[in-house]
Amino acid sequence: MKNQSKKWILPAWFITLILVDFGILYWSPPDAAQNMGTRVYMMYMHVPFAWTSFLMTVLGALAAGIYLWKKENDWERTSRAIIEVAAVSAFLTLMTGSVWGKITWGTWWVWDARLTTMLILFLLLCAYLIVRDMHGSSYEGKKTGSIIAVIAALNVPIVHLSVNYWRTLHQGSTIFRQEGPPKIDSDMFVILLTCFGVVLWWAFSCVKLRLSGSKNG
Amino acid sequence: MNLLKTTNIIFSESLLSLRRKIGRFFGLLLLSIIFIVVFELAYEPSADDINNFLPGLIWVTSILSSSIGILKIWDDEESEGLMDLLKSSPLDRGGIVLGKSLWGAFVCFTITVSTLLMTFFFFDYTLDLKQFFFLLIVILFSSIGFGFLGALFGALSLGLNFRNILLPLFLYPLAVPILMASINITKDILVNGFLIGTWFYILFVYSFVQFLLVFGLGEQSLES
Repeated sequence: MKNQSKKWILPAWFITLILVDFGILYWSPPDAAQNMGTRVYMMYMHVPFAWTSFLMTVLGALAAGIYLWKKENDWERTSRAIIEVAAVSAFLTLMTGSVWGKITWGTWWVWDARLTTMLILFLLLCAYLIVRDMHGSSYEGKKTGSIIAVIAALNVPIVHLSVNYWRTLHQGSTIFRQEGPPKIDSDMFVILLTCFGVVLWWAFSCVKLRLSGSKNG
Repeated sequence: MNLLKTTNIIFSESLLSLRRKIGRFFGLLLLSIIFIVVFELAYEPSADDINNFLPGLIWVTSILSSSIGILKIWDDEESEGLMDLLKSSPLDRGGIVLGKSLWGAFVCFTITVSTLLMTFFFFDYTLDLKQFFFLLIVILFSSIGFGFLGALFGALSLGLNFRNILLPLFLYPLAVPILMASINITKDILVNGFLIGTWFYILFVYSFVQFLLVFGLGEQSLES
């Protein structure tokens, strides 16, 4: 029964994703503030993946920190499963951001503070995965990987605040603003949160599947 | 066993081992991206001098990343104690070095092509198909030159103390002609769109000499 439910996690998620996509097309108003029209729909994938990568990095680092403290392998396994999802989310953030950049700025990539710090976060997550892949189950590999995970999490606030402290082409914070309430249409905000929920569902499902896989394998 | 058969066995074995060591390979690609980020942040080239900046960036990044890959091509045999087994096997020693050299060239080629694509992506540089094809030819020759040189010196330095320091000391000065020629040809391709010129002849001859050196010295380099 448990295996049956596991089998349905990702297909169910995929169906929900398609439904949410239709929801975006039906309900989301085109952007008027920045004159982006329907191109703004890309935000419903880009932003949730970015938030998920931040959240997963922090959670992975927490698990890694507990592993470093308690030396219990379960925490390291959890940390690895979470960081893997964080790396995929960070990659998808960069990819969707790049497509967004081509549509709105006319270029795939600019050396902007937000983009560069996000790339550095992605590189750190990749470094973690490479260390863990190359050193298998050795204590040195787990220890080094966990330290890299903690360092990667320290980079998360830098990525988030980069748009406030440097002049960037990337737009400033719209939701988590220091100056006041979110600067977004309420319909758009609801859809954005729904998309974030769907991406989070995918992220935690992947972590769960990975953890049960590594336990059985 | 004859030379070509041994070369094929060693190259195929190295290619198969890539599946086990894919993390190492991705590590080299990651290193290339880090070099690109560091160079960009250090120099911040303007749109006007991008044609002068990109060829140097591509080749310095590729040579640095590839050389780390090349330094490792004999390491597994050495660390797992397989070197004596290889030497005492009926395999042709020249073929062993030639197979490893081909593997070194393959590593260089793959890393350089990946670096090239990443650089063009990050600097939003558009190429036409002809320019890309010309660049692939340059990468092929420089990979043969650098990969063969690295594998030969790697074999020569087996068993030496401080090998990881000594090998770059041998390798980098000898790789300077390849680096200079590749940078200048790349600049010609990007700015003027042509491939054949003095620098191309230099690269071709130098790579061919490395190829002949491996043929001539390969067997001796593995002698105890």
